[in-house]
Amino acid sequence: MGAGRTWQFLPTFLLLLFLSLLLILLESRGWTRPFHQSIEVVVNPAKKEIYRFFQKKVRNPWLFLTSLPSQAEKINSLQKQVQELLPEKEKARALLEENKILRRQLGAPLPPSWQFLPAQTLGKTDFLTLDKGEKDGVKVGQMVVLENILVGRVARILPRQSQVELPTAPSAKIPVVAQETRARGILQGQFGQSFVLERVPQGETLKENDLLVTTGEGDYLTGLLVGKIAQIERIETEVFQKAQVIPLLDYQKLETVFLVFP
Amino acid sequence: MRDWLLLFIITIFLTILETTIVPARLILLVVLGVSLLLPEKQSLVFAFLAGLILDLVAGQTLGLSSFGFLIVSLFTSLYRRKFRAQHPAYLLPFTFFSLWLFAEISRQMFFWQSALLNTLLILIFLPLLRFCFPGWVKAGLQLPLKP
Repeated sequence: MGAGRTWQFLPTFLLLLFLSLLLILLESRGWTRPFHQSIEVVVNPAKKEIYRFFQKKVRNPWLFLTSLPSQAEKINSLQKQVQELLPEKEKARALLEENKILRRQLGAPLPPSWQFLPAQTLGKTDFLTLDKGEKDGVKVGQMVVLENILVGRVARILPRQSQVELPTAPSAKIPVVAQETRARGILQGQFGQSFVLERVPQGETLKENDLLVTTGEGDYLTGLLVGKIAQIERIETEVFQKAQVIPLLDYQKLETVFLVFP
Repeated sequence: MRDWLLLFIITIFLTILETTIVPARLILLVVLGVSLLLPEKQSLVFAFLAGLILDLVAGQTLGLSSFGFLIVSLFTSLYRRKFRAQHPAYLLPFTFFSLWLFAEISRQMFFWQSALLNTLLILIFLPLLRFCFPGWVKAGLQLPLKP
């Protein structure tokens, strides 16, 4: 195959590359927002339904798969009755759940001047995606909580969505203090799964099962619970000690969280 | 036409999965597979459109994923001319390299552990693509599809 034929696709490549760069430029000026808005109106409900299905039904995929044959017969026989009652039941359940969550949030030990905006989760990959965005007054850097536990910080906003950086993200570095011993350190996310408390001076005391709260530094609001110390790692020859920390929330199971307006 | 429609339906479905519950680069793997099986022009067009779909559904910077996918598709097209790109011995390292390249271009974090898992997924995606689209010819020697 000659060189000429080998590179026959080059004009197509360059044209598409130029279009991509043009779109990036338009995005940087905010001219593509109408596209994002119109897509979000369609896509957000689909994402939410798929995510909820995964959260509720597919917690144990093997169990789900093996129970399918017997479930199918049962579903067939009950379907007529269930079809009439299901929408009403779902509506009532959702309202009850929302009521419970709102009551717990209002009862949480947080400053009374803070205001909260409830948001539904749409998905969790590297970020937690919420169904509230710029149109709802959400801003980058805003805190997201559940009761008095830190869920994360808004990293990116769109017209009707926002993406939240969780404390387990590798880019997250949260200044925290231990509730009992008052030892200070930095909570560093690890691989999106867990976090580790670092940069704790050797002179400070760490205690297992001690709770960690935000200090208010580093643009994080103060007094929010983040995790619990699990295992302390202390090497005498090193300047700092560290500890493995367990999250207080299962981020995969979050359905409703609250954006904070302090 | 039917094949293209099916391909885009699959792409949209995988995009929603990738942005909600599956922390894997599903669309990148599809772009890689398509680039290995289809001629260059068609692969590039698909890479561009797939990137747009991903950016719109994920709410990312529009055009960024397209840019990354185009580069990956170009490298794939050049790679398969030199090597038996569909053989696992060549496919796996190239997939790993493509994941790193895409992460660099789209300015995302790169974790070699999850990249390894993603790399193994190509061994499932490529046969699945061949199964779903039996009319495609390997290595783009002919043009079986007209979009």
